[in-house]
Amino acid sequence: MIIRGTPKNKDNYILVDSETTLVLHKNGFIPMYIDENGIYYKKNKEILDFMERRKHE
Amino acid sequence: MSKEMLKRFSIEDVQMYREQGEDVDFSIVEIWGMAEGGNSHKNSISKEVLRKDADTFKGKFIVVDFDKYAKDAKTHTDSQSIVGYIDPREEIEFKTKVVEGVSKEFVVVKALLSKVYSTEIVEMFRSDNERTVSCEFSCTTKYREDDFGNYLDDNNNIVKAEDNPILSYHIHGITILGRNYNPSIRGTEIKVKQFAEKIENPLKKFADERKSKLGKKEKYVSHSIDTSKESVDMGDWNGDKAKNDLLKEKNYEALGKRVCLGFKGGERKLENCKYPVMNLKNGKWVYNAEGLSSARAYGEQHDPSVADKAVTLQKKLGLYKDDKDKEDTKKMSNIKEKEDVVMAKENETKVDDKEKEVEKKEMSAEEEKEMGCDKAMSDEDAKKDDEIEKDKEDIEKAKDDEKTDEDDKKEEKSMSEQVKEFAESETDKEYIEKMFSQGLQGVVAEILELKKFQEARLELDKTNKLNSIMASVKGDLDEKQFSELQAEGVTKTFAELDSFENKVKAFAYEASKGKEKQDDGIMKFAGQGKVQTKAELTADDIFNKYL
Repeated sequence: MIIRGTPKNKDNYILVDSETTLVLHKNGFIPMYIDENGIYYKKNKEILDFMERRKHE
Repeated sequence: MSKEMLKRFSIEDVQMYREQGEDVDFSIVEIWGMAEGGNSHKNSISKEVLRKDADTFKGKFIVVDFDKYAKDAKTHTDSQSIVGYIDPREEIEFKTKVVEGVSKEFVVVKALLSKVYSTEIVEMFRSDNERTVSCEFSCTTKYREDDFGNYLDDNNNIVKAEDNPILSYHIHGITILGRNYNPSIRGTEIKVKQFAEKIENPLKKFADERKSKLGKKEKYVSHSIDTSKESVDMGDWNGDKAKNDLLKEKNYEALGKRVCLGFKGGERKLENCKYPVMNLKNGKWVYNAEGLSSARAYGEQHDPSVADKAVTLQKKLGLYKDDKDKEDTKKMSNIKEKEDVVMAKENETKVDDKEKEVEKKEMSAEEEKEMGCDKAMSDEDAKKDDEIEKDKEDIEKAKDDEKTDEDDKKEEKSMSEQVKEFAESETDKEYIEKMFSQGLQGVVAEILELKKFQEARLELDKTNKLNSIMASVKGDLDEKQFSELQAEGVTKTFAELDSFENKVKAFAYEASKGKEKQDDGIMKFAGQGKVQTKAELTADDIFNKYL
């Protein structure tokens, strides 16, 4: 499930586009919000590490 | 609708769906959309809340972002398309199933997918019918979220997300997920019902059909039919008993046409068996004289065609002839009486009017001759005419009888043949073995055909996927690298393409390092197929920005 709308505090979330969400979701991260700007994932160290790792692969 | 779609959904598809007994426009899917308990959002849903707002599923859309190269759905994106909807009149159900050892109640709804406008999605379900879904919804939770992402209770104490349940929800849409994406709520599913019914256990279906046939066989009885003159029952007639006996017959439809003159067929009920003329005698269906008379009498009052049929049968069986003879005898006796009266009168006239006779003698001989000749001639003619008419009638009657006998023999033969065939037919075991061997041959042929189709499909999918991978990195690699990787990709199997994709993207990443990327606030990975103008965020940027 995903909430249709924008999180109250965007700083607590990472906003990604439709291409990036495919990789994140495929790797076990669950999207929290979706609005016209993109898809929001809860920000935590795990997801940021993952994204950083992917950039250097 | 794209040209590709138009081409793909042709009249052949319509005919195929019709032949398969499927709806031409829609596939019916069953969705297990949302469940009570925990989920990866950590905001649990109670059974009461689940049931309370389940009506918001009604009339909502089924959406999907379809990857035409991988022939699979993606996940929640900003480019999802509507492929179906939940009928607002559809009943919402609540079903329970065990997920990861925990029994959970789910909201279950039926939805329609368009076969015409989302052909690829229907095809996707044909290749793999077990899929998951994820709901898009709005909700309210028990506690509010502060600026730091913490949930605060009324006393501003921080509570865990697990302790912050959803109090109400409103569904906006249901996204079909691809095979590689896990739903937030474990156990959600979407399945095309029509395919499921067709694919699931054809042998069971056959067994059920056979079982019901055997059941019917035990329930009904079978008697032969005898339509000969000799077998006519001259005994008492009971029409209701005849009808009830007919309802118990195995060959109800075939026998009904002979037993009743007003037989409607179809459902086994008394109303469909009008004007019976046969009954059971010594284990055979035979005509009953009284039954025929009764049907004729009723027919004359209500349905002339029934009366005609009864008369024809009576003629055939010699029952009608008796009635005619009686009538003829009556007529004859009447005529005789009249003749006697006339003769007596004539004699009286002769005795009393002798003078008149004398006067008659005075008539000319020629006149008398002529008168006598005419009289003789007219008598002879009348006799001849009568004889000719009688002969004609006899010939016609003989023809009719012959024809009816032939028809009866034919029907009798076919009936007796049927009975004989049934009695001599294979035993149930043989029948089942025969049906199974035929069924198995069909299944084997079907499997071989499907295998061929699968191989061809896999090859096509592989090519498409490889093209997709290579296309996504085309701008990042030089020509040499590109052609080397493409040649390598051709040698890979479909399953190996996933790891190959990572390798290709790694090459692409290396090659594209240092290119300018645009920072629009949306985080992206490298090599996702979009043109990026600004440098990507580094790890330091991310930590500075978000942590």
